[in-house]
Amino acid sequence: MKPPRTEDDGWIRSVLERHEGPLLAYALRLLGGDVERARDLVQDVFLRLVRADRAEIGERTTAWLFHVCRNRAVDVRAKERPMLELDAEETRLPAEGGDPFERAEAEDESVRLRAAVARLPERERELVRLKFQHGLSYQEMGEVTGLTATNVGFLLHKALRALRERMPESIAPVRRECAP
Amino acid sequence: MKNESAPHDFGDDPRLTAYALGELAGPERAEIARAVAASPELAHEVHELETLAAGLRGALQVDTDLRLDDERRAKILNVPAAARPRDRRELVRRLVSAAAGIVIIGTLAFMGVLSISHYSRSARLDGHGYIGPGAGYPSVTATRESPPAAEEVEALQSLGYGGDESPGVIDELEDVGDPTGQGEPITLGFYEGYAVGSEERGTEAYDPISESGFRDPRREPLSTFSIDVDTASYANVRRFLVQRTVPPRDAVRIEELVNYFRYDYPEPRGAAPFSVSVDSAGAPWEPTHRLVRIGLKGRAPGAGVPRVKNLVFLVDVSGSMDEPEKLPLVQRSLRLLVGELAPEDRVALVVYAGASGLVLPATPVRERARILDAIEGLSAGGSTNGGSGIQLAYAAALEHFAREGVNRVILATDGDFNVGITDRGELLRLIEEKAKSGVFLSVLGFGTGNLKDGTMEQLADHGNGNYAYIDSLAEARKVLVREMGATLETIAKDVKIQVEFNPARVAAWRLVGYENRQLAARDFNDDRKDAGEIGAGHTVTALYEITPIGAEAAAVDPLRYQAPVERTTGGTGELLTVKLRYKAPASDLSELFTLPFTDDGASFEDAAPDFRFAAAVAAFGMCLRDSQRGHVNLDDVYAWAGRALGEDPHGDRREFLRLVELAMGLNWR
Repeated sequence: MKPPRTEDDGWIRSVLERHEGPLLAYALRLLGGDVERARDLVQDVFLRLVRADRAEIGERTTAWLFHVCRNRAVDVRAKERPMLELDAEETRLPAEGGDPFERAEAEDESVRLRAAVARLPERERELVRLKFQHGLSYQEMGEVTGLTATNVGFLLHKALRALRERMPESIAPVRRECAP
Repeated sequence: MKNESAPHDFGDDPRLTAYALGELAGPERAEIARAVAASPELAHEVHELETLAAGLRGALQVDTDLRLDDERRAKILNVPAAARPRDRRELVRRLVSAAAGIVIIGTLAFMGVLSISHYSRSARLDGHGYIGPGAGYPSVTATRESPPAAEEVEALQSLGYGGDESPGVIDELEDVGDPTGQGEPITLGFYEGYAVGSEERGTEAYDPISESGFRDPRREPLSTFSIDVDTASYANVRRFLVQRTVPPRDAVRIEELVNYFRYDYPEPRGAAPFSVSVDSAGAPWEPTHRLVRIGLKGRAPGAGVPRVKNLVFLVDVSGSMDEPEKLPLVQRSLRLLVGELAPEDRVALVVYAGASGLVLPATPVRERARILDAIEGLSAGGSTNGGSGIQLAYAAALEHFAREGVNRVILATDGDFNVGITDRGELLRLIEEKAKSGVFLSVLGFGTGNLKDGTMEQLADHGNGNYAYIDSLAEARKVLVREMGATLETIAKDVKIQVEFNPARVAAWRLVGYENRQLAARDFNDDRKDAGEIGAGHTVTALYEITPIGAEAAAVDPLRYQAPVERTTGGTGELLTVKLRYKAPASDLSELFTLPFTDDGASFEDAAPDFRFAAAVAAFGMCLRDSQRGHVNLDDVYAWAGRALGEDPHGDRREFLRLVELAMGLNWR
């Protein structure tokens, strides 16, 4: 027979294990790479999840977590680092991170892509990251940022166009721009 | 700007981006898909957007291995349950309610648009072909939309969903049979560290499965395979997940996962032993791709009213049964049998040893958990005294005698049959007499070394019954599932499917699962080649993922030396043709029928719940196998399946949701 368990134990644990990594990465970004602060923030998000009415969260756990994480980050920053941009500069984290991926392929197109992303307007940059870094749907991105899904779609479309224009042909040529 | 020939400049339409990112659904998706299919330029555009998206995913990849420190984790995990406002059932209840088409206003409204409202739409009628043998052409039938089940919530709670309190349900069974008789390697059942019927104990072995990638129909226009009604892989995967372990990749056979569930295909018509239906919708993990489902449904058992079964298990629990291949195998066999019974059937459980007793009074199979618990609770010990046991068993059977039904005592013993009535003649007379009352006896022998083969066979003969020796779970499956009662009578054998793809419509195809069931194309017409059987009431499902022409980005490398196929060839808009061969159970000659299929472009959201559920299960298998096909994650699987529970009379689909949750909680590194 199995040891007795509280009913919710597995649920919280599974959500934690599934989302703590992505949320920490997200929080790190939002807080400009401050690891301790990011951990505090993510812990706070999960404690809120534990106390939340699960029925209201429904199946949209991912969106809920990112939404709360983002709002909490805004709060924290408003208090402590008012001058920091919502989405800290692209190059900040890799520079201090020492990510092997980063080092090994310093010259490759990923770096150029990241640089191109970094030049996007703040809001588009955030959406690009939610989409491609965290795999959220338009719907979820809307819930996280407070935009409508249509708005999300428009901004993301615009961002991708801009990226294609900025990237060298080898990656994402925009034929219309290149046509003589 | 000479390139701008499209009537509408989709290039600046956010919907094109949304389409490329898989964000569109329904008519919107179909509209863009049509435009893309019609314009190579747009197709190129989509391809580039996909390339950029893939590049961004790679470039922005974060280290998701980041973990909270133990102290913070502990703080989160140790919040007492009392401080948590709702239990887990609430979420599932929501899902189930939503699946039943009940719109929950308020609590979910803040979430914005609810895609689950798609559910209540009725299924597409066109594109769902039906054909029976002898019919010269396909007619059209509808898939029935599952009506909302008001009692689902109660059913869910009675299932004990959300807790760990029903181990009997979860730990049910796992085994691999060999229904095709092709001599494929058999992985015998493993359970808690020992191998049943095997010399080796504690080592599990799986044949590697190499997944079929996308094929180009110009090179490989035919896909041929044998049907498979096994579901062993699902039970095995379930065992791993319940034990909080990652299942080995090769233990995951996607077709067995999909076929574990029953789907609501049309009943066969006329003399046809089974119906075949084909339908399609967008692949949820890759919306530009099409998912084509081929469904077989065997004729219902017994032609007329299904016969209610009133079964009494009479189990020897004497000390000699305390060996892995005895009582534990008995338990697994009986659980297997219970799994095959209908909710209105009844099961009672009588044990005999030093003392005999009615462990479980006749209980409707509807209360499966109770029955499984009782089976689980059996333990060996004491000396055998079967006499009063056998009388008790017959009494229990007579008490709930099912007129027109199947009334049977199933005796499971290692043969040390000290039944209390020591005179063998007297015992035989008892059994014979009971047989006249309509209660028959089946004898199942277990174990070796102590088997009173003659006695047991005699008992069975006198009890209008049968006798079988069970040395392994595969055998138990054969005896108790394939040969037991009308529900699983074989209605067709050597069932083979061959699909021909129309290269004018299909850029690439792949069969989801069935890796071990592949046949050579020429075997299809070779009646000597064995294939799978289909039993009464069985459903068999196969899924193909198809890259339509126009969405072939990155599917198959372009051919350098082949002449391109003209899009006008193939004559019709047909996507593919399904051909089926089968033999009647006593025949050596196969019948053939053919079913051409035209894709109606339905979106995934518009597909019938059964379709969506099957797709979710396949996607789950892809996740578990860490398949490279499509962008699938467990959250998606959970959402797709949660919205497609349908009636779920046995709670199997809800159990599936629970397995997805368990998988989410695992460390997949």
